[in-house]
Amino acid sequence: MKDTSKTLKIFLLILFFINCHSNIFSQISINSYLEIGNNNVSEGVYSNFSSQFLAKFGSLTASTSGLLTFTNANPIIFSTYKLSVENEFIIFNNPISVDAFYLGKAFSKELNETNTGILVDYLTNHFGFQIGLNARIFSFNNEAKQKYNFPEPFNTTIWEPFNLMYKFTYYLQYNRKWNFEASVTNFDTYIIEQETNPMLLTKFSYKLQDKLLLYCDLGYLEAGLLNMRVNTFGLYLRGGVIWQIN
Amino acid sequence: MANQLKYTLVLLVTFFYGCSFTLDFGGFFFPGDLVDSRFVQSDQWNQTNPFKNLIVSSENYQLIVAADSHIGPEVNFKKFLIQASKPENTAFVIVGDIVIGHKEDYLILKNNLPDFNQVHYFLIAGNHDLYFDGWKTFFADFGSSTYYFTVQTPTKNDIYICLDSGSGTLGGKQLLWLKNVLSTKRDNYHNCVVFSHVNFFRNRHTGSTNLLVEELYVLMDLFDRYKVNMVISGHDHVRFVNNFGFTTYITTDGLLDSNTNASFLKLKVDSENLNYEFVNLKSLN
Repeated sequence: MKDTSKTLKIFLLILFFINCHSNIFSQISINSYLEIGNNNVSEGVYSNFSSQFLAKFGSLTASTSGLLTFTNANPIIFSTYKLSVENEFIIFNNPISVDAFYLGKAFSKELNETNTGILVDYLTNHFGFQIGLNARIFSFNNEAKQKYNFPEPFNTTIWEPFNLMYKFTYYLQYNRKWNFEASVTNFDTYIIEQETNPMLLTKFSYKLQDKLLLYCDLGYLEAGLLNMRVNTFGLYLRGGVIWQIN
Repeated sequence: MANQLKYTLVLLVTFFYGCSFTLDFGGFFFPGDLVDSRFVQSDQWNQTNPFKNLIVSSENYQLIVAADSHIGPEVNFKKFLIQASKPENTAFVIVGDIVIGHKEDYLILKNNLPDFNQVHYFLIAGNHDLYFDGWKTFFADFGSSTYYFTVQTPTKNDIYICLDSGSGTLGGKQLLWLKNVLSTKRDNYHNCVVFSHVNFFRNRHTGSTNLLVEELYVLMDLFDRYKVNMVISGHDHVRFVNNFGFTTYITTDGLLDSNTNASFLKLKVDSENLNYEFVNLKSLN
């Protein structure tokens, strides 16, 4: 619990910093969504609420985001925190962005997952390609380490080898206001699956005003694909808003 | 260009035709059996077939564990059976992918297995056991794939929980069953070991699928809270041991004939400890 409150403090501190120094950023926006879903481990419907604050400074975009989770599967409400920095480049006349991120998740009272990674993003008129690597670490939190004081042969962390992250997206613009996206990917805002567990995501977005975008996502997760025994794992529906403040 | 395309097509058709004897590509789309429905069948079977309690006369006993024999081919499996059937072993467990999935493979398995009253054994289904409608044969021949058995020594009891993860997920119903078993039974047993076909951590890059991360969160939390001593799985064909807190996660080598490092696991239990040892089949020649 101590670890969670520490993360919450860092998150609020960064928000405070962005707010106090809003004049140095060329653009600040907020992306918030509410998600409801159901999966094999949620024991009924779960809901998530996420808020992401993005600040743009030249070609650099920094963002910080947090997730509140309400589910029977995890007693920790402020469960996930993400920090990322993205930079845009032009390589051979193609716009490429590179995103480095940190993702911390308390998935039980004693256990955490930490992901760090890098993603390269390339966008054409109708297609988007994101590819990258992440390193996943499962660990006991400090409170649990102190509580159990694990003796020598016991490990309190598991490092998995680098995992491939991918997202292939098809974009369709109906008109200036309506957009549609369909993606095959192994990651989402706060979750990174193993390479062999892809999911399907669709997104409808509607530009309400110049600085206000509404969107709706539908996600489908499947288990056992490359074991050739597919079973539905879960579904979620997400409604969100992106508000460009300045 | 046209020739290259032709050769590629011929290669692809040859590849898929060759693989079609061992892999069930239909499972990409319509797997036929779903994990929740398999669990319901297993649970019903459990109602009429009580969980086994093995009684041993000493504090020390040993179990043998193997995975991924992939019968049809049966050379390594027969070597394993000779070792596993020795009287010093209390029982043996095969944690999935025992056969390729055809009825004739199950027939080979059935013909080779010893009489249960003489040598105790416990089997669980892996993804290959489900191919070609294999679950029907598994269920008809061996019954449940989700159950537990216990071993009773003069002073203590140990529990061994067998899970059906052949679909790359336990499914909601089986997960609830597992939670119920751990919450109501764990305190009554000294050691607790969980068997699953699919391995938990991605220790190397392979095409085989692990449990989804969300499911890992829940299971790791459960095993931590209930101090599960060991989680033993197969699926990856290459041994790996992850010690994490009070739980040791072991992935066994594949027993299949084509694996030059085929091995099985000896689980040695004494009054205090639960130890393991990999035994290479090559070392027995």
